[in-house]
Parts: sequence; structure tokens; C-alpha cells
Amino acid sequence: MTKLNRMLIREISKTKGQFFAAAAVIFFGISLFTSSFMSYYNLRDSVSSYYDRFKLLDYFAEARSITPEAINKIKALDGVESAIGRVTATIGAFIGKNDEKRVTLKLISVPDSGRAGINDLQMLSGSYFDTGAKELCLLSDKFAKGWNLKRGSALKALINLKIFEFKVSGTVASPEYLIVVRGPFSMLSNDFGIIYVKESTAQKMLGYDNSYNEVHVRFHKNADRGAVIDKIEKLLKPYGFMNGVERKKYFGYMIINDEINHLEKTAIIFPTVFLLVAAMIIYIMQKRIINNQRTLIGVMKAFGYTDTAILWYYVKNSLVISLAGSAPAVLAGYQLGKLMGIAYNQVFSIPDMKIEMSWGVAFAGIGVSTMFCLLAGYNSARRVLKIQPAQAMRVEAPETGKNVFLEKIGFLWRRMSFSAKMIVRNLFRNPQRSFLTITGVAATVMFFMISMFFLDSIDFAFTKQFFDFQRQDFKVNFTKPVSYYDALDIQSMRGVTKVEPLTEIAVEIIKDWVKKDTVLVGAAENTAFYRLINERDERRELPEHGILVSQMIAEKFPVKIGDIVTVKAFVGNLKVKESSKEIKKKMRVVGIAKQYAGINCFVSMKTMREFMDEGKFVTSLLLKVERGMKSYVRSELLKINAVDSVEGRVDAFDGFMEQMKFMKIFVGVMVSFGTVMGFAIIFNSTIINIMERSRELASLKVLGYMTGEIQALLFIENLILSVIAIIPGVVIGKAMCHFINGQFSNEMFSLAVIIYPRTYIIAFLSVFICATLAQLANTSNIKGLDMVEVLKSRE
Amino acid sequence: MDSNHVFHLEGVTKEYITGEVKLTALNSATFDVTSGEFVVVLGPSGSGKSTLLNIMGGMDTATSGSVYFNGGDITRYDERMLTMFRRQKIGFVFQFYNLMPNLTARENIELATEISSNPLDIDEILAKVGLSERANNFPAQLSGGEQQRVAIARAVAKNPDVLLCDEPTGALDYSTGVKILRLLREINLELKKTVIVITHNQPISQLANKVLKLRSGEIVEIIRNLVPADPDNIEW
Repeated sequence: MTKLNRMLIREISKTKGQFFAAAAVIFFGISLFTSSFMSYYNLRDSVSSYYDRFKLLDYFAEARSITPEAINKIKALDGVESAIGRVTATIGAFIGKNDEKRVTLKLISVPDSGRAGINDLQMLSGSYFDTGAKELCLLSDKFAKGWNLKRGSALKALINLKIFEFKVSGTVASPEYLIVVRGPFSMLSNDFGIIYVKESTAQKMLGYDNSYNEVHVRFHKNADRGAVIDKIEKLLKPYGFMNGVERKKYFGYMIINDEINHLEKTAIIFPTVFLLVAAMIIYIMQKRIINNQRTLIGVMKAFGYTDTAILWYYVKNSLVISLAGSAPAVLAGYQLGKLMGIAYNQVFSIPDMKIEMSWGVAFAGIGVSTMFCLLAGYNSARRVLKIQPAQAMRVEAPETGKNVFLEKIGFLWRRMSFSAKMIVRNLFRNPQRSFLTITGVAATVMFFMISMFFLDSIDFAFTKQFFDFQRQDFKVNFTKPVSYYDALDIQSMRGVTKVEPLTEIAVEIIKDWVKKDTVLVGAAENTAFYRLINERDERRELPEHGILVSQMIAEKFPVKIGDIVTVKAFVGNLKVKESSKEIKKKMRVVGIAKQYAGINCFVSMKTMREFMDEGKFVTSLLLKVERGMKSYVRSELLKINAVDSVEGRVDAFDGFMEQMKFMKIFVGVMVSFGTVMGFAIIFNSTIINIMERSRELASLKVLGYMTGEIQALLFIENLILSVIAIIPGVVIGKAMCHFINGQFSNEMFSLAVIIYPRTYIIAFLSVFICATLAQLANTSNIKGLDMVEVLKSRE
Repeated sequence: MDSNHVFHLEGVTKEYITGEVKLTALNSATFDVTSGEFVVVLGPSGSGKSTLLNIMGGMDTATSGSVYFNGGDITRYDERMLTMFRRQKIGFVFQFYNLMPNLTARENIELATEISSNPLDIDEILAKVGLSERANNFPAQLSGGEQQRVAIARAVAKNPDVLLCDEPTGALDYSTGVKILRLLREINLELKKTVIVITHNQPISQLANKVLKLRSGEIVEIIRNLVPADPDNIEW
């Protein structure tokens, strides 16, 4: 081994603390990077291969009644690989010992013989319809598990006011329902599941006479999709075509795709920020360390070592730090990535979730850290090498001895103790040294903020949404639109104190060439349950005429008060009318409605009726219940056949918060990584401080200062720097929060950046604890200062 | 130029400009050093001794003038040539030893021999400086005198033509200082190395064949000493 290599090894072992702290920063940066990317790629690839394997549809259309002949015609179209017809409906079911629990199921038909060529099912337990019995069913796996339903269990379903009893044959997963939720804004709940029954049985139960209400299509690879879709929709017109969407707009696909996109952004943004800060810190640290070794570099040059040889020595040093941090980080990242994969799959239901290392990511992680370390080592060493060896060996010229600005404030300066003066001078005379500490602390504060602001923002939005904006106790959803007067009958139910009708329909808002999908909410004119506010947070009454547009739509569209927009809806969706019809009407924007969660547009019930031209009907009902009567009213409501579901406001809030669990785990990981990183940064800046100032500190010892007193001086200095660092930390942190929030916002989802005081307090306290721990960890370094040695030798 | 001259300096000037102040550290130094000579550069602190030594050793550049080493003007050398010059021709000994703290005595010497094309035998050198027994000690485990002996061994082991010593006894007590001077003298005589010592310590100049007196950056006197004193006989 060459002497330089030996020197390198000994140097590293002598400065173990520093070495490990630097490697730790890299370790945490890279393990987060590796795990996030790995779990994201695994999820994305698992989903996509699942789609291929079980043949997710390419196109979906809904019509009133599609005959097998129509399906055959579609199959015969050029560009169509396969097509199947399906019967679907939302039904109620009773579960539990005495059927006391009412749940909602989506019923989907599967072919009587053979398997579905599109959206095929994967058996997870039991078996496919293996006997000829008609009452057999398959259930979505999570739902079945949640209610302990197994092969052989019985299930009572309520279809068209009749009770049918099914026997469970097995449990399944489907590419259509990798997340089993009712709709785009629904939460994961055990009160909703999918039930698959044989086609002939479903048709009979639902009153479809050898016909279907859905057609699913897969295209050939090179098909001209647009043209084929036009043909299909034209072909379906006589069959009561209602609407058709491509895969990318199909709910089952969209919800997963949105999730994956979110994860992608999470996987990219957080670790990248983490890694960049880690790199910057390593860079600054390496620079300081190498700068402190000017003399050694000068001596090596005096011997005749070439610049390249010396440069290589320091580059190797950086390389070792990088590898020591990143190599174990890849392994740790793999383990963490596995855990994250498992956590993801608590939300998704992918039976064949792939959990494997993405070597590209691992190499990228090591590559990125190596690149930054090398750059740091190279740049710092090169700077020192540029100077003449004689100059390198000379002590660096002292910082200019100017008075610091505080000294000009005479009355303050005179009142300061000697130690305080010394601290102040140190801080101002070594701006570079102070900069390292400030950067580290500011980065730590920033981590806390960007890790936690999502929780704060979501908590704030949902609290506003469910406790400020909404006031009802329950929202009752009907299986299909019901007469306004029938719905109001519920007011007479015992325990119900107030009801308000509500109609929600999916619409498209059009202005010029821009279209936006949204939900149009028709509420009672003097609604007591919806507290609408405008963009200035002022109360906004629901106007009799005109439309209130969600603030986000108003901003993104953009539309302003006074504009005329076109509102388009398929009445066929409501299934009130016999023939499908498209409604298109113009409305004047009369105000902006600020919402914290969701993007809806609001009209009065009267305007809604005029729009629909449909008579008085409602899709939901909002109600207030007497104290102590909630569970009674809920169970009574569920006994009504027309009722699809009953959403408790507080339950919904709790449900959303429960769904945040995964987010909390992620934030927890981020925060703990941030803390360790913060500690490593502060530890290193303290040790570099001591190293650089060994002469000065030894002089203090000679003067009779105790170790504790010297430590206190350094501690106060660090503390002052930390306090100063909080300002840029908070400013940059806030800017980063806005940036990240912007990355996550889309048409359907937008949050206001909210950071609770609690988050700031946690961040500041953590910085304080890190500074204290770093100081304690460095005690031995201060104690070990050899006065004689330090003062005897030249710096 | 006499072919016997290992160094020939011609009007070597070094100026430092800091802000508006121009400081002349060395002013038009002109002199020769003959191969095998023991030269002492004598002067109070701030007289330009170290600057002169650094320029001669290729560690610093002159503002003007020429430094000929074996006939070649090193002020015209590029970085690479200067490095090779230091590597092959010059051995440095510093006042504060400047040993690598993480290498043992032997390893410190090996650090120098590794890059030399014609090194001397390390064991012989260690024996010469009287440190065979302490070869595996780290600098922190050695006394100041021992550390300086390692530094000398390190400088000599490369087998350079010239040994440049910057206040080699400056950090040592009297008797250790004398031992170091004797060692340098022996290296000069036995290994036929040209030795240039800079010092502010007048009595040390008695050892030299040639004494250059420096004051405020100028060579004020060059004294030839036909009968150099024995290191054991000088006192300060």
C-alpha cells in the first residue's frame, strides 16, 4: 500500500466522528432516494403488468340496453381486438350475524361460461363459479376479508326491492378495482365492495332481458382509436348510448394513475431535496477540512508530489466518504423500500405486488452522491493546490481585524461581558465558518417544514371542510334520483330535526374552448348546512340565479364574475329520463366559492330545476339529528330501500384522517431522517469549528478557562447561529412548501399551504436538541485539546 | 557560470503587494552556492531568509531575477518541472518538522522515497539519524529532536542534491540543536550533499563554508569561512 493510501486510512480512522457524520448525511439522503424510487417503480410496474396480464379495458361505454348483436358488431369493427357486454348496478346488501349492517356493493356480471376476455379476475381464494348453481358470487378480496366472508358464506343482497341470497364461491382481485372505492372523492371503506355474479343471473335480477348496460373494448395496438371510438358510439346510439370514455379517463384507471403520479412526485421531490442539501453540506464541509490541511498540502508539494497525486489523495478521501455512506444506504433503501411497498399495498390491492431492487436507482443514488463528493473534494483541493507551496505552508492571513457593527452601538457594547464580546466577534469575523452552521441548521428547519406541511395543510383543509363549511350530521345518498317530496318525508322520522335537499350531478363547464369536469351542487336557497364563503373568506349566500364557481376553477380556467359559461350534462346519467339526452345551458357566473377540499360549483335548487327541466327531484339529503339519536337515525335510514349510503360528517372526517396514515408514516420517516441529518450537520460543523480554532481554544485553556466554559462559549455561538439560521430556514422552507404544493396540485386537488405553529415549534426544538447533542458529543474533542502541543506547533 | 556552482542567483527580487503597501521581502539577491558547500543564511526575523529559501527550493516564485540550478533557470520552469525539481533535487527540513501525523517515522520517510527515482536505503538513513529503534513510532510519540531527525532523514532519503533547512534548530533546546547540526554536518561531509541552513542564530554560522548575511531583504555581506567550526564547539 502506498504511504498516501495508508495516510488516508489513518486520517479517516482519526477523524471517525467527522467521517461517520458526513457519511451519515449521505446514507440518509441515498437510502431515502433509493427506497422512494424503488417503491414507486415497483408500484408502477406492478400495476402496468397487472393491467396487461388481466387485460384492463381500453374503452368503456354505457348505454341503456345493448344487445349481443351490438356487441358482435363492435367486435367486427376494424381495430377492435375484443369486446364484451356487462351488466352492472349499485345494490345494497346486509351483512353480519343478524344482517344488522347495511353495505353498498357494485354488482358486475361475468360471462356464464369461460372467463372475461377484458378485465379478467384473479382468484385469491376459493374458486371460480365451479358449479352450475346460479346464486354463486365472487367478492372483492378486501371487502370479503373485512367482513370475514369466505367460500361458503352467505350474503343477502337487495336488488330492485327484492332480497336475493348469494353464496360466496371465492374472493378475487380485478384490474379495474386496484383501489376499491365508490368514486373519485370517496374514501377507502369496508362499507363498499364489488360482487361478481354470472351474466344470466345478473340480467334476470336487474331486469335486463339478454342485454347489457356496459360494453368494454380492447383495441389492436395500431388501431386508430379516435376513429374506432366514433364508430362504436355511432353504433350504440340506437341502444341508448349515454357516454363513453377511454382508459385514461376511466375511473378505475384514473384513480390509480393519480395515486401513482402523486407517488412519483413524492419519490422525486423529497429525496432530491434531501440529497441536494446533503450534497451541499458535504461540499462545504470538505472544503473547510481541506482548507485546514493547507500545511500538509504545502509539505507534500515541497517533497515533489505532483498536484495530480495530491488531488487524487483528496478525491479518494471524498470517494471513500461517498461509498461509506451510499453503499449501505442502498441496502437500507432496499429494506425501507420493501416496507414502503407493503404500506402502499394497504391502499392498493395488487396481489402480485413486485418488490425488487431497482438497480438503476441504486446506481443513480451512488452515482449522484459520488459525483457531489468528488466535485467537493476536487474543487476544494484544487483551490489549495493553486497556491504556491511556500504560501500553502504559511498560516493563512488572519481575517481583517475590523470592528464588528455591534461595537458601534456603544451603550450596548459596553454592557456586554468579555465572553459575550468574544462570541460576537467570532461570529462576525468568520463569516465562512458561520455560514456552514447556518446552512446546516437552515436545511434542517426546511426539512421539518416540507415534511410536515402536508399533514398540516390537509388537516386544516379537512377541518375547514367538515367543521366549518359543512354543518349537517348526515348526508343521505339515494341509489337514484328521488322525488323532492318523497325525500322530504324523512323529516318526519323520529330524531331528525332538519332536512335540506341536495342534488349533485357531474357536469362539464365550458368557456370558449376550455372544458372542466366538475360536480354541480344544487342546494336549498337558504341552506343552513353549507356555509359558503367567497375568495376573501366572507359569507356568501347562495344566489337564486346564476352559478357560484369554485375558486380553483375560476383561477385555472380562468373565469370571473359576470362571465357566461356553458354547463353541459348527460341527463342519461341520472337515469330519470327514458331516452338519453344531453343538456347544454348557459349560466352567468355570479360569484366565487372558496373550498378547502374538492372543487364544486353551486347553484340554487331553483336554478338546478330550471337547468334539468326535470321537475323536483333530489339525489341526496342533508340532515340534522337530535343529540343521542345518531345511530338510531342511521339504522332507520338504511332500512329505506332507496337509500344507497349514509355519510356521517364526523365519520367522514375521521375516515379521511385514517386514510392519512400512510402519509403520516412517510412524514415520520422524513422527519426522523431530517433529524439525524440535522444532527450530523451540526455535529460536523462543531467539530470543524473546534479543529479550526484549536489554537484559540487552547489559548483559552492556558488562560485558565475550564472545559465547560469553553464549551459554553462554543455552544452559545452555535445557538446564536442556529437562531439566525431559523430565519432563512423558515423563508426557504415556506418557498419549498409552496413549490412542492404546486407540484402536487392538479385539476381535482389543491391545498392551501398551511403550517401550524406546532410544526415550527417541533422544528426549532429539534434544532436545539441537535445542537445540544452535537455539543455533548464533541466534549472529548475539547477536553483532549493539548495546550502545549497546539501552541507549540505552527498552525 | 562556474560548473561547480549548484546554485547561481542573479538579481532575485520578491515583492509582496498588499492593498496599497508594497513590501520588498528580497531585494536583488545575487550569489552562488558551490556543490558540497555548507551555507548558512543569517539574518534577523523578517530579513527575507525564508523567502530566499522558498524561492531557491522552487516553492515560491521570484518577482524578478533568475535562479540557476545546475545551469537551468528554475524561474522559467512550469509547475510540472518545478515539482520534478523539488522531487529529485531538493530536500526540505522545516522549523516545525511538518511530519505527517498519521504516519510512523519510517512511513514518513517512505512517503518521500516512494516518489524518488534514486532513494537511499531507509534503514541506513534511520541508523544514520539514530532512530532505528523508534522507526515505528508516530510523530506524537517522539520528542522534538527526534521529530527533527525524522524530518532530516525524510529529506535526505530522497537522495537530493541540496538540503534546504529552515531554522532546523529553532524549536529545539541547545543540546538537541547541536546534535541536529552535527547530523547536518555529517550529511554534508559524508553524503556529499550541499546543505543550506537559514537561521537567526549567529553562532551557527561558524559551521558554514559560506555565510550570507541578510538584512531587510538585502544581502549585506558574504563571508567565506575556510575553517568551519565543529558543531560540538559552538555555543549559544
